[in-house]
Amino acid sequence: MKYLFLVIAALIAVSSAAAYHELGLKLFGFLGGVGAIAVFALVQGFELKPIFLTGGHCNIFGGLSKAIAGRPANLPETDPEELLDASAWATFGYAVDFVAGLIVWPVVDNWALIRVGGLTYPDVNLKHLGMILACVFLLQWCVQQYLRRGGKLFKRMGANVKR
Amino acid sequence: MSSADKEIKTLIPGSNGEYVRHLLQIHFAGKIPKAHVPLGIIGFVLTASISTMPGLPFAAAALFAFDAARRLRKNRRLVSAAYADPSVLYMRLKPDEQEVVRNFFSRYPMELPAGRMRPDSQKKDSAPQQKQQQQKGQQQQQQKAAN
Repeated sequence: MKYLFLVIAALIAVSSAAAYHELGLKLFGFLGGVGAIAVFALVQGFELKPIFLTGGHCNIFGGLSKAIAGRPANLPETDPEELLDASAWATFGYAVDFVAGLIVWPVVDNWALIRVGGLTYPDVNLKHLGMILACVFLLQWCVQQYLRRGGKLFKRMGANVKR
Repeated sequence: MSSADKEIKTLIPGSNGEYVRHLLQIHFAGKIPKAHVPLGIIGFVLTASISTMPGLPFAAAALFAFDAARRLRKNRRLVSAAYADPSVLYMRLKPDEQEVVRNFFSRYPMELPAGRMRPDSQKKDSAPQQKQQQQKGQQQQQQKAAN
C-alpha cells in the first residue's frame, strides 16, 4: 500500500514538473524550462523537508490522514530548532508553490472577470484547480503516507525514525 | 508484554522529563500554517472581485501572510521558552493530549533516565500474568492428582 502512495506522488511530481517546464519553455525558451524545473524542485524540497525530518508526523490534512488511517508515526529524535527553520521555509514554499500553480494552471481563463466582479461557477477551470491542489498538497500528503507506513528514505534525507 | 510495557530505546540524553520536552518541542516546531496560503489567495480574489480599491486585495493577502508569520514566530518563542520551563508546552496542549502526557509520566517518572519505567509499574503489569501462570500450574497439579 505504501508504494501506491509513492507511485501517486511520483506521477504528480512528473506531471507537475512537465507543466512547469512547458510554461518556462514557452515564456523564456530553453533556459526558462530548466529554470522552471529548478524552481519546482526547490519549492517541493522546502515543503517536503519537515515531512522528512519528522518521518511523516507533520500533518497534511490531519482529518483525511485519520480517515485513511496510516500508522501514526513515531516522533523521531530530530533537532527542534532545525525543524522550526524547515517549517518556516515550508510555509514560504507553500506560498510560492500556490502562486506558481495559479500561473501554470490558470483557474479562470479571463482574469479580468475577477477584477470586474463577474466571476461565475462555469468560469472556474476545475481541472486546473485540482492540479494546483494536487501539486501543492496531495504530493506532500502521499509522501507523508508513504513514510507513515514504514517507507524508507535515502540516508541524510531526514531523521532516522525508529519503529 | 504489550508495547506500553516496554522500556523506550532513545538517543536523547537526560531524564524522561527531558525526553517528553523534546518530543513536545518537535510537535510544536512542526506546525506549519499551510491553510493560510490558499486562504490568502481566496481573500485576494474575493476582495479583488468586490472592491474597486486597488490596494485592498494586497492588504487582505498581507493580513493572512502576517498571521502566518505571527504563528511561526509564536511557535519559535514557545520552543525556545521550553528550555527554561517545559510546562509552557504542556499548557498549550489539548486536554486529551495532556492526558496522554500525564499517563506517560505515571509510568515513566520525570526524574528517571529517558525511557526507563517506574520499577513497580513493571511488577504491577507482570502481576496478573504471574497469577494466570499460578492458576494454570494449580490446575495441572489438580489434573495430575485426579489421574
